[in-house]
Amino acid sequence: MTQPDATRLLFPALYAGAILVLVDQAAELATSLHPFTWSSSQWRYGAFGLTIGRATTGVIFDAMVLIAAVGSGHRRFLRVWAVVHLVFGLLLLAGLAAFLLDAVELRRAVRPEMAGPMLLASSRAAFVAGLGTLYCVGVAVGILRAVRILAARRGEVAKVVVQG
Amino acid sequence: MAKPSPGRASAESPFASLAMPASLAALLIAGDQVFQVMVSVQEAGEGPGFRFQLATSWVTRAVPLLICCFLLWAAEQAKPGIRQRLKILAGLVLVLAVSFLIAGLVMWFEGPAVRAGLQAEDLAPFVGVWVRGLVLAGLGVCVLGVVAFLLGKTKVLGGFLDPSGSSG
Repeated sequence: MTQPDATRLLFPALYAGAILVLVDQAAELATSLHPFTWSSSQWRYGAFGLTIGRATTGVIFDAMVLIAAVGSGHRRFLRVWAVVHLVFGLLLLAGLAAFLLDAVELRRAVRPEMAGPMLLASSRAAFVAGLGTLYCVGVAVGILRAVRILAARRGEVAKVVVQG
Repeated sequence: MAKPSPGRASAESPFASLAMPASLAALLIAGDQVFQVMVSVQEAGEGPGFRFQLATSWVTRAVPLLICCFLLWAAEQAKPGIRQRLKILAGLVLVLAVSFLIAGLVMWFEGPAVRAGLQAEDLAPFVGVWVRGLVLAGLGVCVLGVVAFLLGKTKVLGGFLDPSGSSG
């Protein structure tokens, strides 16, 4: 694969940057979620909301990885990344279902004046999780297409080299 | 999903396959930011305080919204050919720039009224938020204006994200 030198340097830098973003966000999320009390519906509700609140940064991280992987032509990694997206999409869907159940449970216990803010926060989380699931599936499909194009291109280059 | 033939593959950038998810990502980010603004202003009440908080909350979304614009731009750029949708995107970015201008004006004119109602110990943090908001609004208008102008100028596209260097 022929790439300009600057681009060849950019892609590993993007991988490194993505790792930094991931570690930073994971550490911050873990700190805010600690102590982990899975049995509490209140904690689970808050935890899902906080995790969903990282959606924008998560998408930026994902874009960095995708640009680096597609640009570098890392087909094997891209296939793994597509599977990761499908798994994450399923997890988001399961998390959304659990979140909605927790929201219904907490709705009964919450003070009436807090019902509005809670509904808005729940709507936001549901919107992001729903669209996030679609995004994950879309990225997985897009990755598989990109891998096919990369493979076809690689085949063409090999043919030219053999014929030349 | 149609399997691309070798001839077609050489013309199509692998990044073009990621155009749709990039647009979805932009929608996700934009929706999330709007929800965040709604959550942040729901307890602000009414009057100048509400308008000021709404304006401040909106302009602090400048960076994610700019990323949205770039994601949509990149999504269009990844696909070779002439893209009329870039003109629509330019219009949207212009609307966004106008909204930042309005937010800046609201902060400029409502700021003194909000400040008058504050206690002495709250003044310093308020001024910090006020100045930051005004700077973000000003910069936001300029940057978004430039982005809208460049989007409007862009006509023939294709290839800058293509790792093989073909221009499509």
